[in-house]
Amino acid sequence: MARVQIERVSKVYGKSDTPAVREVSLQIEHGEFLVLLGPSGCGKSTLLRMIAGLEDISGGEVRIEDRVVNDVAPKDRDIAMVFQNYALYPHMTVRDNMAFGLKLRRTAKDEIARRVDDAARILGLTPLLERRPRELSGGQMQRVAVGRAIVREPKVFLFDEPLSNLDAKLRGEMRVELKRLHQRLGATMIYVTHDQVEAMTLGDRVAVLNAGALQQVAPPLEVYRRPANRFVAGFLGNPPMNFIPGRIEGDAFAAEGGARLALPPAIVASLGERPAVVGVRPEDVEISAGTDEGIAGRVEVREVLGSEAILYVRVPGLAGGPLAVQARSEIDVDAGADVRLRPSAERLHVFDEASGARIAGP
Amino acid sequence: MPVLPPPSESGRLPAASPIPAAPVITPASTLGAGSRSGRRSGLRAWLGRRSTREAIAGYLYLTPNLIGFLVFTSLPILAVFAMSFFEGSFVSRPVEIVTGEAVAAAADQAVDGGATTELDARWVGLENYRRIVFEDVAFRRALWNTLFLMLAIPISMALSLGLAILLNRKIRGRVVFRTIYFLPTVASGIALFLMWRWIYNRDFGLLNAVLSSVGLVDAPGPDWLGDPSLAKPALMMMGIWIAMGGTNMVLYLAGLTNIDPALYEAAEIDGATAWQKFRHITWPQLGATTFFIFTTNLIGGFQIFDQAFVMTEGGPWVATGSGETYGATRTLLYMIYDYLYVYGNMGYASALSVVLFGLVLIVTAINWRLSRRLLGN
Repeated sequence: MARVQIERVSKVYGKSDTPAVREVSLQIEHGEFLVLLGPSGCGKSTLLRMIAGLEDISGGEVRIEDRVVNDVAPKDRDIAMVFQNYALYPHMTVRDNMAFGLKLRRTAKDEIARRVDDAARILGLTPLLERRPRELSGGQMQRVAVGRAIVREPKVFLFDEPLSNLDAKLRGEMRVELKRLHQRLGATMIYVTHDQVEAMTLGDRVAVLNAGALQQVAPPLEVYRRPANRFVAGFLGNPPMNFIPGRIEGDAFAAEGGARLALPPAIVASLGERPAVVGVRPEDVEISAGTDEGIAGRVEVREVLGSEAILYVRVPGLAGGPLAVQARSEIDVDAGADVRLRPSAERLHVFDEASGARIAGP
Repeated sequence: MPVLPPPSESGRLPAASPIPAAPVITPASTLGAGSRSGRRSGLRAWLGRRSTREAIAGYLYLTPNLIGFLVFTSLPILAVFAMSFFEGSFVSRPVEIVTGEAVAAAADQAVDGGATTELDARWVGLENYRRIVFEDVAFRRALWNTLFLMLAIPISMALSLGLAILLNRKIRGRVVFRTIYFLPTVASGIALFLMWRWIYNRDFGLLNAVLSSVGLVDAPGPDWLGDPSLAKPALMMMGIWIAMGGTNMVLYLAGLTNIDPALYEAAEIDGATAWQKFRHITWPQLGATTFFIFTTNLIGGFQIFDQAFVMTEGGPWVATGSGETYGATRTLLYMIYDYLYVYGNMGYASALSVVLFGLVLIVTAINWRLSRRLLGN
């Protein structure tokens, strides 16, 4: 267990003008599970690789347990890493794969055997110990990769999109297993993913990155409920948050396209005249047919997902696409139906149009 | 009575249909009877199958190549086997003429297109092989020379691998270096050999000039190609120089680029040194490449000829006390060449070729076995 401190860390490749990672600062506490989340190319893997020591740090400092490790070799940082494609040594058995790092460190033979057997038992790999990687399924290889990290008993575990090569069902199972593993080991873990479900379910906190810059660090639910800016709001959630650009005119919000939305007076007051974007999550809109209350619209598409349905509702006077609205799948509204929408006033998010920064919200 | 579903094209019942609870199951519904109807239209069904049609198309595409292989490779090989039981040049020559009368008769026959010539070939059975195995000292010398020169193979492979690893680094101008090292492979072999003949020249050669300028040898220096104890190492050194930057290096480079960089990163985190990364990742990952290069080089090694032909003409020649004279760089293929073109004994040359073929076969088989064990597949 250890604390990892990242201070104004940047990465610039070659003579490139745009840094891959720009001045990111993060504190990862003892035993914390921190998820680095973002779209591809946002710099999250680069940041992880800088913590691992696989990439040079262009600026800033990385400290593990209060020791600056910028110039410390990966093997001396007391970390273990699980790679996206597992990176198992192909010609070694599962046992040798897990033992390799310990052998190189001249750990005593019986100690190696004990740790490998322990890890194999935890991960259900005991019957596979004498197999070679190519005789394993994707899920089993993933377990071996995790096992190889566990036996080292490192201070910090680093995961680089470890589940993205697995199929959906296996991914779900491994997610639960990783969560259990973290609870069992209580170790500090830093986990890179572009999958918001993994981020929400695994992380004690989620750090959202975009274009190399840190957008928000917070517990998953807070990132979801109180996104710091429009990027975070749009990146988390499926279907994504609806955005309605416009500005305050009089006592209501005039959307581009002409529609007028009533906003709580406090928000109206804080907004002033500047252009803004109102955001509302699909589940925060109440939909009903046969009333006169709310915004009128017509259902264009209805997607049933099981217990829930997503309705795409075209609202006259709203520029942009239809609004996504989440409802119970039993709802008796079909494509072509005229409906009324009532966004929950206390769940509205308001962002500055220019900067995307959050102005008001729950 | 419930109606049975008709058997599908393959003669089986449709998988999805529930088997009806018929009191009496008619033979037509059993698998055996179903396959009977399948057999009737078997050939047509087989021809109509997509996989069959694709196979036929595939073989059609291969036909030109197969015919070429048959005519220009398989048949000559069979001919060599056949000829190895004969002695002679296999060239037609005039029949022996004894009397003047016969000359006239022979001339007449020649005009008529009759047999005035005979093929120079006499059946000797296994005699050629007996000679090669039990008698021919020259064969043993040639085999020894060939094997000796083949010692260059592991050395040049190691150097190729080293070069490939160096040139796989992200260094400035690595494409230029790759090209430079590959150039000898593109150049004509004869031209290179002639250049090396000059390098090895005792009086005017580069090698002796360099060696004597640093005081390692006294002028005129060793006669690299003329000294029986130096000729073989000299040829080997040249062979290594030509081979190390060539195809072997390119193959190793290709093999190296196929290794997942994450393996090295994982090893880095595991704490492996440069040597340990090579030992545990690079070397095993290149196993198949190494095996391929080693096998092809072995086969090529048994066929060393042209460099000896150009550089030393099989010499320098050594006379032993027992009256035997042998060439220090005369290889197996050189011997075959001599029997074919110089001594005019196609039969013996063929037998030597068959023996060479056998040697290559045995060595390749051993190599194959070994690599299967080492590579594990």
